[in-house]
Amino acid sequence: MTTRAFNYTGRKLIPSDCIHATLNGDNSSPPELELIFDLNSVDSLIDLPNDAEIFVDLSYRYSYMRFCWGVIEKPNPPDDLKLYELDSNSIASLHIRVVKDGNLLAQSNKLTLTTNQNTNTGNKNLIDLVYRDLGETPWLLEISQTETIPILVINEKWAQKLLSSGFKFEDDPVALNLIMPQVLRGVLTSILSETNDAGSVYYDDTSTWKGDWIRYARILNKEDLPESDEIETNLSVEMNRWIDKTVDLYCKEKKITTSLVEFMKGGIV
Amino acid sequence: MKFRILNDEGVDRFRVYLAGSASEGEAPPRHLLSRENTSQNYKKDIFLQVGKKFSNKNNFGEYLVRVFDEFGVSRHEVIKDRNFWASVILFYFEQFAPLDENGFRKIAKDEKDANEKFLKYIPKRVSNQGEGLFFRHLALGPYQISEYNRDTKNKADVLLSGKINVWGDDIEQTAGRVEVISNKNLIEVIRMLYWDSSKGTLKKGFSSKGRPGNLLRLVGDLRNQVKLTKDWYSMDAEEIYDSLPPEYDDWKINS
Repeated sequence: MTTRAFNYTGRKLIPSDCIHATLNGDNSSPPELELIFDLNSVDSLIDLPNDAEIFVDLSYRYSYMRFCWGVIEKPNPPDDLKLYELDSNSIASLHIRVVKDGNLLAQSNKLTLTTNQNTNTGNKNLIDLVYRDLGETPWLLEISQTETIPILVINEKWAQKLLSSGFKFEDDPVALNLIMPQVLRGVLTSILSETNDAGSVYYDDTSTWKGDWIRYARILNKEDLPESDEIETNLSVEMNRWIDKTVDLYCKEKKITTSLVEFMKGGIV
Repeated sequence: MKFRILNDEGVDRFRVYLAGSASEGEAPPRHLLSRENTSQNYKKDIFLQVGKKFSNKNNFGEYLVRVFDEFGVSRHEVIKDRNFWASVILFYFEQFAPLDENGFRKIAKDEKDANEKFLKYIPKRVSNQGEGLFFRHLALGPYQISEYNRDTKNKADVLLSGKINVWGDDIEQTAGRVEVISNKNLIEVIRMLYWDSSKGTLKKGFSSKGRPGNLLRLVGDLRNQVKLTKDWYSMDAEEIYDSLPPEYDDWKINS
């Protein structure tokens, strides 16, 4: 299904590719923002009024800072770009906004900045595989709020049958290809249901499995997590869509359906 | 009294008290704050006034801001410290969980939260790196809101006018949104619309969902709609107030 977004507000989008932002720091003190952008070089923004003001907004959870960046005709970055007011030394969300007389003329999408630019999850194990008698349930996902990583529990009767056929469960492409997309969906749904900004909270968390999973998801899906400061008990439509897209990208990367089809033909991709 | 903070063992024992005898009215285990095996001195000397009474959350938040200033403790030093905030609650526990007329206490409990069932009293860690604590804590919440608004004329009294043992849905819906809590002009608008200066409280019906121009609509649907075309951060309170749609007229007449 194709979805089109209509913008009737007249507000311009400041493209992310004209913004070069990094967060510098050692995580022990407020980080410093390094930001370069040139709105005058973007064709779609050339008719912004010369005297419109440019603001750079940074936030982390409930804390917020705004930098006045001069006007379109003459951008004037502040000398001190340390993020003293944010409640994090390592992560910030950034928006650039162009405003005149209170009217929002242009805005960037949210950019998530971290001092830790390495988004690799390394070789950490993201999930444990265990076998247990689950009755008629073939498998289930166990997610604990403690430090242990999620557990994929496979019905031992199934695993033993596979083993007797010469397959170890973890080497069986059909089983894994059918299960793993749902595992990814289940884990992301669990993490992102915790708080409305769990994605950004866990992004630079290198010590828990949640951080590992969120970073893995962000490697698959480069799109920023949907911005929402709503207090909701259920995941928003946008968040569910983000999870759907991430799972879809996972399936594409792993060529899940192709692999299943090929296996049925007698070969394995 | 010099303020000491619980260690992990102390927090665990405090949690056992919350889960057990607290609701039966038993006195809080304040000894946990003095024993070496359950608590320790804070890295800076902080002295809190024993027995000080707080008439509302604003009164409490302002007190902590003032005391921490006095002892050179910054917001960044304390807002990620779970044990610190559990200790503040224990220090003033009778006010955060007062006895009712039958000698029992109502202890707020979130059965669904596998991480921390008593998160009104013991903040929940939302990241193991200590990047954040859950906001809905009875001591941390008022302190943070007071701190963010320390330089404003009315110090966010409109958000913190309720009793210190209550963290209602209305304050959660308001203070729990970064684009509200961080916008001092908008907080001033909330005050202009819903604050009854003569009583020092919010006006009756301010959060009634069926009432036009209620607070939740202002900070929710209306704000979400307006922010597509307006930047409330760069508008002063009067400009925002004047630009509100007619559904707010009744509140303006009564302001």
